Amino acid sequence: MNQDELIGKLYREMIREEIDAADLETEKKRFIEANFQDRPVLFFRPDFMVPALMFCAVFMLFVRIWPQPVPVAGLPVEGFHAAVPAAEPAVAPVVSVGESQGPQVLPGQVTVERVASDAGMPVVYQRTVNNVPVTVIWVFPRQEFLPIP
Amino acid sequence: MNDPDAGLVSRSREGDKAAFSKLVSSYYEMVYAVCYGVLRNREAARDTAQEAFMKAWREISRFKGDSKFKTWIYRIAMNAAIDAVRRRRPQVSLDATDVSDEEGQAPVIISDDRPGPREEASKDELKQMMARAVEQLSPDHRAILVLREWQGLSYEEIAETLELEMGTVMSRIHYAKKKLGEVLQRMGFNPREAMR
Repeated sequence: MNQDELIGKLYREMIREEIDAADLETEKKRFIEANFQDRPVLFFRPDFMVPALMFCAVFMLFVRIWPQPVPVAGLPVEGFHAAVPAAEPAVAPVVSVGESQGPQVLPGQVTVERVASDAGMPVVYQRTVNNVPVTVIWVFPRQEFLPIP
Repeated sequence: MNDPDAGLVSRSREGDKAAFSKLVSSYYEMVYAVCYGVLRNREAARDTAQEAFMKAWREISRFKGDSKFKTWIYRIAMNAAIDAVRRRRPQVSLDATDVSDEEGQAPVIISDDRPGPREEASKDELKQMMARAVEQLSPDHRAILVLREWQGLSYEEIAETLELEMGTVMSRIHYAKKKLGEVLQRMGFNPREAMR
């Protein structure tokens, strides 16, 4: 080996050492990702997808734990109060209304304190028929309470 | 001319980033080595290599395929590295007696106040001496050295890459090696001893 060859060898070893130490693979990947990779549309990007999926999971959990009561038409089921004119005091005492297939007529005006049913989800609303306020309570029976066809 | 990268280059010219990313992937290490050979600094070499690729991407529509893509990207990287080293610091001669050389450039001569060769005989130290010696070369000589010694390019390829005459390439290679030998000897390195 002559002097030129020795210098060349030392030079190549020096560059090789630097190449090995520089972690070029990581740098290269980062550079390509940052500049030459088409970014996916927003929905499929991990920085959007992960929080969105987490939100969905939490939401589903919430819905599963608290499926009822579902207020209908903005009226809360628990503590529902039928409109009672302030000037006229409620005349009926607390009455427990049982289940019935048809309408039940209670004497005078009533205050609905609580609506609950083991059979399914109750729905309460109020309408006026011939100037008489009517409180309608529906119960949607769950599957097991439906009559067998 | 048969360029193995012609397909990727053609797609890149149409704006295909994926195709260009394959070219980057193929040549990243080589371009980095070229930049490091000239700049002798890891961060600067990385920045310059990446800058070279970005410039190539911007200008690839103007690349007519007169040369191979490899030659073209080397040329961009070389020019960027030489510009960077010139911007960074001008070379200053510490020895007025050795100012002129065949290129009319001013190499820096370092004083020899380090221990002698027997004390600095280990391989690591040899490499360190080599690294210091390379720093004494001008950017143009470093460029030619890295293309020849590291990339293994022929004189013709170097001439094409750097857009120089063949004679200039040969003379610069000869000068760079001679200069390295001289600087190493001033540092206390004796090639004849090392070869034994």
